[in-house]
Amino acid sequence: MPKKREEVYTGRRMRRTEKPPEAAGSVRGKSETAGTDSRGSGKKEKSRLRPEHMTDVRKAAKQVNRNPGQARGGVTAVELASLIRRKPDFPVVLIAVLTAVFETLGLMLAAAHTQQTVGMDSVAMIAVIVPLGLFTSLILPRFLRMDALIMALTNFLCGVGIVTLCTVSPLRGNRQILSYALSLGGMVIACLAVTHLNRYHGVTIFLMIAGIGILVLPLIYGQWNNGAKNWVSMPLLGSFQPSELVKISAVFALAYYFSAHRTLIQMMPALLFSGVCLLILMLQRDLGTALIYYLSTLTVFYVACGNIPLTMLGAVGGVGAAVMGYRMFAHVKVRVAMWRNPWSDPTGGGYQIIQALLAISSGGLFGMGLGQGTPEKIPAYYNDFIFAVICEQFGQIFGVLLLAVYALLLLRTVMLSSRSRHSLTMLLGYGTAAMLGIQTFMITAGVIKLVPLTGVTMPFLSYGGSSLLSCMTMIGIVHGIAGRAQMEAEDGILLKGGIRN
Amino acid sequence: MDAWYSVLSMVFGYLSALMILAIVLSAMRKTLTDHRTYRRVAREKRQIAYAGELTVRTGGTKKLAAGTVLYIPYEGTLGAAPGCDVVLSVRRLHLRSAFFWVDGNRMHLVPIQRDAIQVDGETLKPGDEAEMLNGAVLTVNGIGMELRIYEDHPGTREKMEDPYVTRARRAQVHKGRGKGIGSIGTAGSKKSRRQKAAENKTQDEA
Repeated sequence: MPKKREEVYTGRRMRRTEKPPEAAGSVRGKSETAGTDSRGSGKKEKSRLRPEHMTDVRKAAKQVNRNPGQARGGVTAVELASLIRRKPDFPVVLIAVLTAVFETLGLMLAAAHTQQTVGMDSVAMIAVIVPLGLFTSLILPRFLRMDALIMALTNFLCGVGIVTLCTVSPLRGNRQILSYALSLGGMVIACLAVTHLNRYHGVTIFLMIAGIGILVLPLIYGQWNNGAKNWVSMPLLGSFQPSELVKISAVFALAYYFSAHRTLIQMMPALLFSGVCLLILMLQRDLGTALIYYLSTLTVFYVACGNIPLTMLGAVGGVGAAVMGYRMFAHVKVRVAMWRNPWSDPTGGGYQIIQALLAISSGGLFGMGLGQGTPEKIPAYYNDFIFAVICEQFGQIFGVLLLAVYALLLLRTVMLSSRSRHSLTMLLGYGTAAMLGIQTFMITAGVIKLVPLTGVTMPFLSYGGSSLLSCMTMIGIVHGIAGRAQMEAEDGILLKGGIRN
Repeated sequence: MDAWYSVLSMVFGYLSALMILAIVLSAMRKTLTDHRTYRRVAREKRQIAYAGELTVRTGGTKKLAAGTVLYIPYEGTLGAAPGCDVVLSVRRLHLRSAFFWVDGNRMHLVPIQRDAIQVDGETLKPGDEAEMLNGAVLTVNGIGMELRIYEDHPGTREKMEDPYVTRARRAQVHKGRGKGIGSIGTAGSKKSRRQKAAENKTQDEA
């Protein structure tokens, strides 16, 4: 009976406090007192959570857990507590453990494949990647209010990429592990920044200026590579792809200037920034990345203002630009022709797409096995075409489920973003989801010949420090949004005394 | 070694398929459960997702009958478009008529179109910023709605930057060139923020 359960619960609280809840400073009582004090003193103590508040919620959740299914006012304390719980629950633990098992077995097999024995190198790799994955999935979310599910899924995707790279190209695999460890640092910084930052104006301006600054570097110092001039090699930093890092600037600029329901003129700085980025990328002939920037801008614009005519106008403009690009650039014509019929030039322009399709088909449903097959026949098998390699080695079912993992990651990002109370943080989340989603779609669809191939990396899987750093930083932004939403939910539940109802 | 490796890699392939299936199902379950819980909690405890509500009092239409409650998020748009955060099915109302945000116990409303928007009887022009307190009556094209900000609602956790109204527009409002509505509502005063700050400073000095 609900009434009886309420009595049990209230009784427990009263026994603990030995005073009536309001007098003893229950969750509600404390917050009200704090609120009154803060109004009097002018300090913002109203929204501050104290450790005892969390203890109250946890204890209440534990208490109600003994009688599952009980409801008070339609919402159980367990449900309330689940919204603000920091401890990872069973699905997340399962994903983290399965990822650890996958990485351990995969790296041991990769070592056996390349060195004919499981040596110290593979043990060292396992000793680095597995604890890092478990730590970031299970322990770090408790301290940084990160979303444990997103972290676990990201770690799994990175794990798949590292295992595949260690099998087909061990040297690149080792470098990828290093990049993964470094990019986790970038993720944590982004998470902390978004969670605690309240003034975005200066940061956005700085990121925009820095973004334009590093985006022009390849035009000055870069060298032509595969028809594009988008890489730059610096003395201390090594070689990196600036357009990957500028995605962070673009996400911030779009979110900041599109937030708060601004007018078109007030949105202009972000639109101009995107336009300049697109122009520079066109000059570098990095059309794939330019397309990601363009579609992301259009998506965030639509989400921000919901203006269908202007969005359609932008889309039509994009189609016009694509037609113009097709007529201007010879390599675009070749790619479109190879997309339409790769068998017209099987040893030239259509070679890579044909090899990718053959690899996917030869993998079958369950794959040829790790290290089996001939992935090295595919050009760029370690970055652009890694999805074909995965399908060949792990099978098409694994490939489809891998895309499902991406879809869930994006779905979760969108869900967390929609809980945000600020349009700015909401658009940050949507911008991130758009960037990652469009990039994943473009490369996957390009590999399976659904759309013309564009030279972009597969997020989290492909080899490349810049790409991984950029993607993990974007995931850090999502963690920050999740942390903010969790703090706001805590405020909503605890200040209202929601647990007592 | 090769034969053993082939067998092991095949077994690992099957195992990987099972593992990723388990991962997808777990993630799906967690995502959906979490989403359902959030929706349920937000429905029961509105202050988690909403800052307050507007109750239609007078001049309601069929779709917006008297007594209808419209929930207000912490910021958003008000208009006739279904994509707005507060949808008013009122004839001759712009798709996006105004935008608003809730700051503490005040709701700020800025019309962006020339609709007949009044707050406690005072007409707002596009660009005017009205600060509405609990009990303020918002009239949009003849439909009167009473504002109720939830008690003890946490508001925004920290006061983020306020990019909604440009400095020039604020200055215009404060100098009285616009409508100059500082604070409207039952418990509010009609002084501008600058005036209030000056008064507070004087009091502090005293």
